Amino acid sequence: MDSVKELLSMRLPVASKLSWLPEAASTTADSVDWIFYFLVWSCVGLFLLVVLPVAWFCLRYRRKHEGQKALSQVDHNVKIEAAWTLLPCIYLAFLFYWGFIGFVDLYTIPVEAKHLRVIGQKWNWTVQYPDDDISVSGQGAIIGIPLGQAIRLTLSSQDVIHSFFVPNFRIKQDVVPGRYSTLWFESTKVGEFPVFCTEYCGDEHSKMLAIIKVMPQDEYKEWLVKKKSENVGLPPAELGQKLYTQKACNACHTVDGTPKIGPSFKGVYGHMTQLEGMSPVKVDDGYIRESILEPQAKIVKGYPPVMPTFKGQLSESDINALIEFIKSLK
Amino acid sequence: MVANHLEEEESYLTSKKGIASWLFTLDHKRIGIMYLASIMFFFLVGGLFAILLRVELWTAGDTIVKAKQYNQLFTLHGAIMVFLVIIPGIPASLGNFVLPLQLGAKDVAFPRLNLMSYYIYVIGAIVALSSLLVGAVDTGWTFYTPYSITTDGGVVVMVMAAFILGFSSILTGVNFISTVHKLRAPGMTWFRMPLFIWGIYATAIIQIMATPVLAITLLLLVIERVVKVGIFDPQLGGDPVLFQHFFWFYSHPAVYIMILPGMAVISELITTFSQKRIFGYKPIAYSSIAIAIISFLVWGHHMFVSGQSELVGMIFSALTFLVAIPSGVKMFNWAATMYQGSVSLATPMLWAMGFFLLFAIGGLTGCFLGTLSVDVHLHDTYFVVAHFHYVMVGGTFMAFMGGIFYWWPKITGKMYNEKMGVWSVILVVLGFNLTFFVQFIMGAQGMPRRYYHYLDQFQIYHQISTVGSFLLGFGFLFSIITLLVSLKYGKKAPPNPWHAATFEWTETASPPIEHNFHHQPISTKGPYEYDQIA
Ligand code: HEC
Ligand SMILES: [Cu+2]
Ligand SMILES: [Cu+2]
Repeated sequence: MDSVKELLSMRLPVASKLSWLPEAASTTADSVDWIFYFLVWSCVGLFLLVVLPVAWFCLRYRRKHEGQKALSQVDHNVKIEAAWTLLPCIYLAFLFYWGFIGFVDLYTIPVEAKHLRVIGQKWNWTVQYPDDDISVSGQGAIIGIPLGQAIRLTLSSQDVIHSFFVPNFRIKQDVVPGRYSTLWFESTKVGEFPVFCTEYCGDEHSKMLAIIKVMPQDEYKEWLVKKKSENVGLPPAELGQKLYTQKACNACHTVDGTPKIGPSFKGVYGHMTQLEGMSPVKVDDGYIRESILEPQAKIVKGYPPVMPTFKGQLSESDINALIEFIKSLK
Repeated sequence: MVANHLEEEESYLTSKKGIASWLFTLDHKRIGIMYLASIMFFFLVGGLFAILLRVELWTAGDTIVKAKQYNQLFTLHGAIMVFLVIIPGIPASLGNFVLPLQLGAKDVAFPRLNLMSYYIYVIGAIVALSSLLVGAVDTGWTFYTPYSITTDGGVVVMVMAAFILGFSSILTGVNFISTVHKLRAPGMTWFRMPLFIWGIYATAIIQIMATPVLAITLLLLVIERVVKVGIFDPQLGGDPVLFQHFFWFYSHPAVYIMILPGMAVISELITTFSQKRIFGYKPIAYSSIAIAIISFLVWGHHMFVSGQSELVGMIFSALTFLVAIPSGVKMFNWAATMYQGSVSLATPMLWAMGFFLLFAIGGLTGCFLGTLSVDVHLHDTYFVVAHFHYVMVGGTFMAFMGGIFYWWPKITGKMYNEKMGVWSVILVVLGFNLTFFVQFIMGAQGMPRRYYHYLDQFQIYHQISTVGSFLLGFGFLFSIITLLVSLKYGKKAPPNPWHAATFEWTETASPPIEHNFHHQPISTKGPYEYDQIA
């Protein structure tokens, strides 16, 4: 929760200065910006081209007295009509061409690109680093990225459609359950850039944020090392507390007794819980384990069956840590 | 001469009395008024939701409602405005009233069907509102799968409402097409028809061709939700993107169901208030038909980042630019019509000028979105929100208001206060730009749409927008008050206060008699021969 509040009030480099577009930070962004600004100025021109004559006609041919007749009844002029049909065609063909060229660049993935996997789920992003054996997740997760290296993302979804949008890189791709989509970028600036979900996905859609942190190579290496050892040697309950935000249990559960999308974890351990269409059960290790791996097996009364499964995302010790954490919340 | 002895007659408003004479009327004029009142009612409801949304967005966190309610509010706002206001909008209200009059007909081809369309609309509206009892829908008006299959609330009820409303739309379309084909006055050839009729006719074609696709799509969605067949739900082996294809196959043409009638009204306003023949009658008429056809081939531009292939993206981008051309042609023709005219800036013409300004911005920003690489950045941001509000409100709704103010003397027999009329337009245009122009900026800077929370740096834009929405809301209320006040205090309207040249003005009183005309009008000239009328 707090991490998101902080995140929301962070000064990220979107909208940082008075300009149409946020700071460009990828290799493909410049060509998008070029055509964007071309559009801005040409549209201003075209706007004036249609609006100024109309304004002029309003003044020049203003009816001065009742019953005043029009000066003429001209109702066609082939040359002018041909001009205003054909000239826009040229303009639009130009836009089409440049837009298409830029689009192809956005989808031409360099072969040497480093591969990451992105999983969208309600309501956070998980990014797995297959080469380095780490992963980051949770609302407001920091995604470390080495500066100047092409990155290829393979995106998939756990539940509904999400969309991965990085304004500073000018990239966006829907993340559709049941298929893989791909996206790539190469960063050109060091900094922190927000990732938004832009396909509406429910209550916490607008909190489905992550941050891409672009770092110079050596700093990135250090970051990797730190990430790997981050959870090593922590006492289980503390690890569980970390996982609680990293795996975004906090998007749906709280630890202070207030119900959210799902029931609060506070004081549940060892108590009876009411189930939908079943007799109550005691919350113990086995029940929590089942809740995490097969959430639909038993549904808590009064809550919707929306919890995603975490099968395959949590190791044996992670699950134990979460259980210890929940147990510790008296 | 014609008008004078007509004024002795009972008008359609007074010829029959009592509530039943309205509820069971077969008169296209009365049905048009019932539509107008219903549509305006829902416009106010949808507008109220919009204001609540804008108030909520005053701060980056919780302001007045929770995230869930916010999501329900924008869904209701969108669904009501699209399905209950703008789609039926001009055709069902003004079209119903004006089309038979302009054709010189006594009524539409199937008056009973016309009444039935109205009641289907009412039933659809009631079903839509009853979804609130089951649990408000939070899917957005687009009902994207699989979210709409898994979320709770009355999705099935809301979807059925849209399904029912579709039938109302189809029946109105069928009725208008038959009327145009069969009931034109003697001498009224296709190219002597007023351009309003061409626009409504083109709209009707889209209505009957596209709406069944929506109906099928929505039915499949209901089946998917209730019996879980596996068409759209990936859990069952379905394809959620297929839903988007189906949905936009209807909903892009629906954009033209919304805007073509607006353009049709504008053609009437600009000629009449310039007292000049329309410039390029045939290009305008044909461009309506061209838009109707091409609009079926561009749906994929809503899905450039959905994972469709680059080739498909390229084709849809090209076709999208193609559809811009006929719209551009219309703009140029309207401008040229005013050249050397006798231009009066009366209230209806001011609405038309407002349309011109806002629709130009709406259309030009469409070029940004058709450009593939730029759309990748702008898709699903506030830039898109601003774009379609400029087109739908700045375009269609401005034209709708212009049409209401234009035909008001004919419909009610009363003139409204001109000063109040002028202020309505000024307030709406100012409020509108304040609300929506900043949304272009925040969209380009990366603010996604349908966001309950947002990064702090967007707050200033949201606050400007919210202030604007109050002004806009006030402007619309003021317009409606202007009209309502005229019912009681307005001066009596002459048969043809604008010196227009179409039948509804030249051949019958204000308001018309029940059967429209005493004698069958005969068409001997084009619809805009201002120097040849008395
Ligand atoms: C998308 C929202 C969501 C997320 C994310 C989520 N849960 Fe849940 N969870 C729910 C809901 C809703 C319920 C109640 C309905 C049910 O039993 O499935 C629930 C129930 C539970 C229960 C049973 C609680 C009781 O009182 O009986 C446990 C334990 C649990 N979740 C643990 C977790 C853990 C651990 C995580 C993170 C790894 C997590 N959940 C992530 C929504 C979520
Ligand atoms: Cu999402
Ligand atoms: Cu479209």
